[in-house]
Amino acid sequence: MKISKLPDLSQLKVFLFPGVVVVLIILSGMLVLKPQLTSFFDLRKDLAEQKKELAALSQKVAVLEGYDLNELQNRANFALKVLPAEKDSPLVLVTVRSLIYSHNLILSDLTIDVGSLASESAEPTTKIEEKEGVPSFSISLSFSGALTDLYDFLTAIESTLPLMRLEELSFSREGHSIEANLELVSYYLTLPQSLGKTDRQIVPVTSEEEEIYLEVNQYLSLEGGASLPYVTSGKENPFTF
Amino acid sequence: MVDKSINLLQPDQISLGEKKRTHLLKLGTIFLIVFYCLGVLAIFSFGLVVQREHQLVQEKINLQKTKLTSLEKTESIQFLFKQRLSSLFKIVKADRPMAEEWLNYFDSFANEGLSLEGVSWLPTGQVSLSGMAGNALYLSDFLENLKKATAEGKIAQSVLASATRHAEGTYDFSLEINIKEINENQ
Repeated sequence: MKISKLPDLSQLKVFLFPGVVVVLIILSGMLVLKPQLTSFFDLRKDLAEQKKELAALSQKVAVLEGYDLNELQNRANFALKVLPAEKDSPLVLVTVRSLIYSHNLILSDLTIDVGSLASESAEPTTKIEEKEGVPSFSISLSFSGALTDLYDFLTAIESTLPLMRLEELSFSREGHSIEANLELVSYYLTLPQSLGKTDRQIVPVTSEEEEIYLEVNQYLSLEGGASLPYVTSGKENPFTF
Repeated sequence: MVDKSINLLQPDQISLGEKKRTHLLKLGTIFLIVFYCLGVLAIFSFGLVVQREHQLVQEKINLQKTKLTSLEKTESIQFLFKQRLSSLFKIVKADRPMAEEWLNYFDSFANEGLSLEGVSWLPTGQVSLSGMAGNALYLSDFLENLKKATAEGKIAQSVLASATRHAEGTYDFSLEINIKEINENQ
């Protein structure tokens, strides 16, 4: 019977230490180093995003700190007079009536198509009328007077607050006298739904918009100088003298 | 004679090679451990640096957010102002012909024998004029002026919609005009 000779394992003894080290390195690499590396790369990625966020926030803070709050408030208030937050039909009525009388025209009819007077939170049931992409409502009026006064009135109505624009004009004339029908549109714009979000970028006012502001800043405001006519209603109070 | 010789040094030479290999293996293993440890140390320490930087940036972000909270009013007003101006820009900068300017322009074409009695105006530049001319010559003068304005490019089109002659020689007429260049005559 032939007995096979066992391999001499003592020759492999020298590879035991390096082998154990390599196995340990692989194991520790899998169990410790890999999660650490993953978290390290995630952290770096996160850090890059954080730096971007910090840059945006710093820029926003710098821009906002550059504004003079009082001046900005005054400008915003004026912009709200030009473009009110809601349909300010009494003011429009007062303004149109005042301009008609100040231009020696005789008003025979005035209709304001206000539409629905829903609050901001209410769901609009009808489609909001828009001109130039801005919500508006129309005013129709009939009047008579002189042709030159009509032209002056047309110039005045488009340079008076709140912002109004001529939509349609028709008139018949006899010499210098006219009988005119006019349709105007008055604009309004509801307040922004959300204000002051930290993650929103500040969009600065452009030079063209600044020019527009300076242009409308020249517009005439009749607010305070004009009022609705006082109409008595009901019985007279017998206790007042 | 036996010419074969026994090399007694051979086993020592093999043993030296093995020793060298063993030594190299040990040295390589030690270097591997050192490099691995250095690598691990570098990754961990760099991770700590990044973590610290992450914390610092986060602190700065929180600081900026606190500042922004105090600037919330300014931001809201700025946003409101910007919103108004954007809309005003659309309305004010819209190319709309000025009615009074153009109607004066058409008036300047009318001679003493012709009167414009009815005007209809749309901001899109569509104008309807109706009037009365004392005779055909006055009317043709007026139409000639309109033709010149069309040739100059101020008016896109002018169409005589109707002209009715009365027994006394006067004419009632109506015209449809399309303005081409916005406020060209201003």
